[in-house]
Amino acid sequence: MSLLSIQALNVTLAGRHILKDASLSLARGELLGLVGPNGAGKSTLLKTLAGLIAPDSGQLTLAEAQLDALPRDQRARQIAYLAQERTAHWPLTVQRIVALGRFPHLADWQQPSEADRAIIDRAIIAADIDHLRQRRFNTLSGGEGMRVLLARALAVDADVLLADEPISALDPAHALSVMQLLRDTCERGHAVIAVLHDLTLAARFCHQLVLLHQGEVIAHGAPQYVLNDTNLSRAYHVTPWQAGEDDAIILPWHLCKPDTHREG
Amino acid sequence: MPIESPRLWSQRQLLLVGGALVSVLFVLSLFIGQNPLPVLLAAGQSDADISATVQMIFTQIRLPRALITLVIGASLGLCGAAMQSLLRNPLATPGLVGSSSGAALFAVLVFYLGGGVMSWLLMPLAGTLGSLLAMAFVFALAGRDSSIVTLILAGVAVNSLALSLISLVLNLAPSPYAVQEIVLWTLGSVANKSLRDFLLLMPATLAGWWLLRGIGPSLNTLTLGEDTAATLGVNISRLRWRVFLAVSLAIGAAVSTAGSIAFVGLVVPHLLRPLVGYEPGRLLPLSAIGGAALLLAADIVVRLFPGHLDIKIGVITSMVGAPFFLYLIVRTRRTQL
Repeated sequence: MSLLSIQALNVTLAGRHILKDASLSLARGELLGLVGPNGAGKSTLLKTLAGLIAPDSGQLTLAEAQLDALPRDQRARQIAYLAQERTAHWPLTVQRIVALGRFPHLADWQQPSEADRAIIDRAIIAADIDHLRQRRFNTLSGGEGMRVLLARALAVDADVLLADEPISALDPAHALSVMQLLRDTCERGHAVIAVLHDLTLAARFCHQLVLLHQGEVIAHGAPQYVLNDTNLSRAYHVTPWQAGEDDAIILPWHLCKPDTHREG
Repeated sequence: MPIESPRLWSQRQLLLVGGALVSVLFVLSLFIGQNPLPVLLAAGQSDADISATVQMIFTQIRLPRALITLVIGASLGLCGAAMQSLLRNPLATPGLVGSSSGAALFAVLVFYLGGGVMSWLLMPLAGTLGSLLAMAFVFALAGRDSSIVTLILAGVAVNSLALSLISLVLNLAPSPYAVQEIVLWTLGSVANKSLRDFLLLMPATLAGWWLLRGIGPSLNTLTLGEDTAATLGVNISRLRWRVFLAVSLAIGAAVSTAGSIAFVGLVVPHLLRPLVGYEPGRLLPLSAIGGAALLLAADIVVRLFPGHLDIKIGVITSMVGAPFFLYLIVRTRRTQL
């Protein structure tokens, strides 16, 4: 049964028709990769799901409830969003940044409970940033910062996690560990939608892919069906390249040691 | 690799130490002045007339002045911290939404048009009204759901307009004495205030403070940007309205009571931010205490000038605040190199 479903979604921004009758569905435990060229409407789709953009038309349902009918705080508890913005305006410690994820669960003046602290700890450990707890955000490397922000989103403990380009600008080891983290999150019963540009990693880790092109979903299904020659050529204007005998093929499939992605 | 050193003091300890400092400065402020320590001098004397005079100085002059300084300092510190946190900009001041110059313009108009015997009541009312109107104008100019940059630009535009209108009023003033009176008032002063002024200051101030209570956690989420805060359940436009309205009320009341007092709202949050781990929510109460302490200290300094040199408190805060701010900028630049 699908946890999240989008039917015939249309979004217009500044007079431009960004999303055209986009539909998709996602079940618990699934990692869905949202792929497509720049400007295809991937981030807009994610922002619409996160409630940051109001759609013109379309049905958005979460666990059979209309998404736009959910109160703001309830929606915040059920959908976590990892923005493309990677900055923290004030240099808070990693621990405090991750703790922001519990905001939707706390009433005014309420302090985090033991259960909240346990969820924060779990997110910190899952993102492998336990050793960074007392570091200030502005002293972290790009890869460390990404994992901290991901831990913040995990700390919401929402049914659905939306991640906008979580592995862009990461080196292969960091990209692999973040993809593995997203996959692990799914295996704990959550559903994840991630905007991805790395088709190799998208094919490797995602249960299903949605290929967007000029605001339309042109393919939706298992990676091996979505990433075929026709679709790649239509959406990206590229054709798969077959390496010759003397060409280097570099595919970061596995981390060689558990600690290789740690820095500092 | 820079490692965060453990924080020295907890929030409660910081508030206690700050509160103790403000208490000491408040008491000092009651006893220091042109006639030093009148209460202590009079303590051993039995003459009823001296006692009455001392009591009059204490309750009619010293106490209102200290109370007004305390409240305005706290407002400036609190509103500065709220604005900087909301706009995620350490250069933001409480006056950024036009509240300060709007209040000053309307207060100056009361001067110009002559409030007569009712000016004690008209000044705070006009100031608060001017402050609210300026803020509403900023919002109207920036438009709904505007970006922070647009809001700041609209604030700068409205501030410039209000300041140019103040210049026009000065230009058209009927006599040099009126000009002098207006200019001296705009410099910012807490001298010659009565308990009535204090009571008139309080309603709008308390309303402003009340609006800011409990917004710390929402301001904390803004650390990661408005999109993240909104997806955590924060109603961004309501939060903006709340902060701007609070700042307009508190700053409008402060400016119409004591003129424009610069730099307190800018420097105090800056100075205290590292003590609370840069967390916006924890900065708010501490910044209020810090603002009160700084303004009480500045008012004591003003009164310690030799002879009858009448230095305005706004001049002192600017003279201390501006170089200190330059030092902060240089220090920030060094740490970034």
